[in-house]
Amino acid sequence: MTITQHQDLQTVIAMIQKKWGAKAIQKGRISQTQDQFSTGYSAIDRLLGGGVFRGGLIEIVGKPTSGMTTLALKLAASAQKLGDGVVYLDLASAFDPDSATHYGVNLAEIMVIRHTFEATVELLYDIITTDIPGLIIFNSLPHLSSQQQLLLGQVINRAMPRLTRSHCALLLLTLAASKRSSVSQFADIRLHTAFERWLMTDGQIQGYQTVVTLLKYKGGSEGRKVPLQLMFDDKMSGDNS
Amino acid sequence: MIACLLIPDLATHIQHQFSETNGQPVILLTHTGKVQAASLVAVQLGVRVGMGKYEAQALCPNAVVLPFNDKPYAEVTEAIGDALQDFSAKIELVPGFWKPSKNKTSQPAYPSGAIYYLDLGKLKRAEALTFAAQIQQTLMAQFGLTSCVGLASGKFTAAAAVRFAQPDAPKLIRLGFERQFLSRLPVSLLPLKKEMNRRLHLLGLHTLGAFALLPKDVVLNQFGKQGRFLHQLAQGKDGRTVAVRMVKPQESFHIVLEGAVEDKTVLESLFQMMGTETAERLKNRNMTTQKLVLRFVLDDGKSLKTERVLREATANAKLIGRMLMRLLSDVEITMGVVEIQVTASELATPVMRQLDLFGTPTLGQNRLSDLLESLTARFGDECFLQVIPLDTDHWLPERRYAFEKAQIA
Repeated sequence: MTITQHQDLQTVIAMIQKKWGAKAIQKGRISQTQDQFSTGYSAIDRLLGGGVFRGGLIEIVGKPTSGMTTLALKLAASAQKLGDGVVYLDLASAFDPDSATHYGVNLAEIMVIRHTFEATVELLYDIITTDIPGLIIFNSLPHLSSQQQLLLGQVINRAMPRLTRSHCALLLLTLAASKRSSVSQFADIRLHTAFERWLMTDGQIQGYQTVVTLLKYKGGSEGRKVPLQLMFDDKMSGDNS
Repeated sequence: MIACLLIPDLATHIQHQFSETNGQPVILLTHTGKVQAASLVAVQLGVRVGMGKYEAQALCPNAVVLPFNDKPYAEVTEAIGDALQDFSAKIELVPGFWKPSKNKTSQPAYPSGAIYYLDLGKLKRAEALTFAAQIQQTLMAQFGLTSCVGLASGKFTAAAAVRFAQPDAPKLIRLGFERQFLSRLPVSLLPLKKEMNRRLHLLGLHTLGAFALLPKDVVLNQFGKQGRFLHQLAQGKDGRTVAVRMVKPQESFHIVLEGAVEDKTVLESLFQMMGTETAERLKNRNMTTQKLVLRFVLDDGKSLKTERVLREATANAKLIGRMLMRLLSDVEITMGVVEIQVTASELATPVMRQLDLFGTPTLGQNRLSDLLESLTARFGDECFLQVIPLDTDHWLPERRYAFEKAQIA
């Protein structure tokens, strides 16, 4: 760039900033981190435009044995591969190291937090504000009281501005019979998982099929369904979205 | 002394085992629909290799026509090789069957057979004959196969001798008598090319004896180097050695049960014991295995086989035991088990790994440590847990891992 060009550019910037404010033009910076975590399942990745974005709130709603934890653990493994730490807020005390190892999670790089509901929700806010871990998994209780739902909603509401600016993604696992929850309105992506059938071979259960429905996504494709075959020997198939 | 072992009806014998042929003659076809091999009965009725399917069926109408299956044939020939290993380390299987070629002149004498050469070293006549009889008995006992043995100082003479051998009477050609034995046999026994065969017949040389009488210079001029080599064979001079058979190292553990066992719990405890024993043997040899083969013999004599290739080579007793359990769940056992054999193959020396002596934390661990540091002041350190692997192979899930207080690295 010549000196004249540089001067012209400075003049234009000064004019814009004078009219629209100092923050109207900002310097761009190259992100050092990869912006997405893969779900470990190509059909869902395609549905979400490549995976789960950092700075986003993802909610997975479903009943037990519908593949919610599997997806969460796969995401945790993807985050660890990118060098990120993973925090698992385990309200239900359901974290299973066996399954975690099975789905590729490095146990040395995951922190499990078990506390009361109120303290865990406060911890969630603090963890988001530190912007240290790459992925936070919040495994909620099966039945939240209205007060607890309200508290969770308030904390998420308070944390959202920090979360969107941070480099970490928040994954909420909501065990619920209905597809609505207290944090639905804040979620960038909402997925619903539903058990469909067992997969049998010679009378032996080899895995199960679940259907993942995209309930909410700003990038479109809402309502799309992806059948997911989760085999107990960690082979995923049925990539037929 | 070289022994030529002929198993005349091997391919069709194997086919009888794997298909329901009801003892009928078998004709095996190549993928192009030509005859690859046939039972001796079919051969006697005029079936020849390379013949079309319909022509062969017309000659032997009650024959069962099947596609030739390589896999069981390769497995059985390999197993025979293993059994012969007890008699000699130098074993050579004459590879393959008839293949269509413009240069080939003669039909194979035993289109369904297999030929093995064994180098028996220096043996006296009586010892060699005893050895041959033992080989035949072994094949009959282990595989139910009838075989013939020809014994001579060279491979060619031994192969010629086996044509005159009977299953109960090996044919031995004494040292120095090879030329005399071969002299009356037809030249077609030699691996002749079409052109050389034609010229030999034009010259009126129909027997090996007549060919052997030719001066070597004349043979060299007429037929070149290959002709000279064949001339030496006709004279009973065969310097070719028997190749040493490459044996893949494996560890096998075989137990015969006192009675038929049907109870899965008993079988599982047996597998645990066999897994430990196999691992112990592997450790003694400083080896690891990547493939486990489990074979059962049921009470009715039926044999079941299942195998599994491991992701990583191992000599871990617990892992081997668990793999054996999985193999057990793969097969449906309808009757009591009387024999179990575990074979650990694809052995390799253990791969050395650099130990993490100073426990350098990874990037993810560092970040979690920072997080822990910033949160413990407010929330205490009781609720932050890390998972410590204890005994990941333990059968009780709660004994595999422990949740401990996370510590700042």
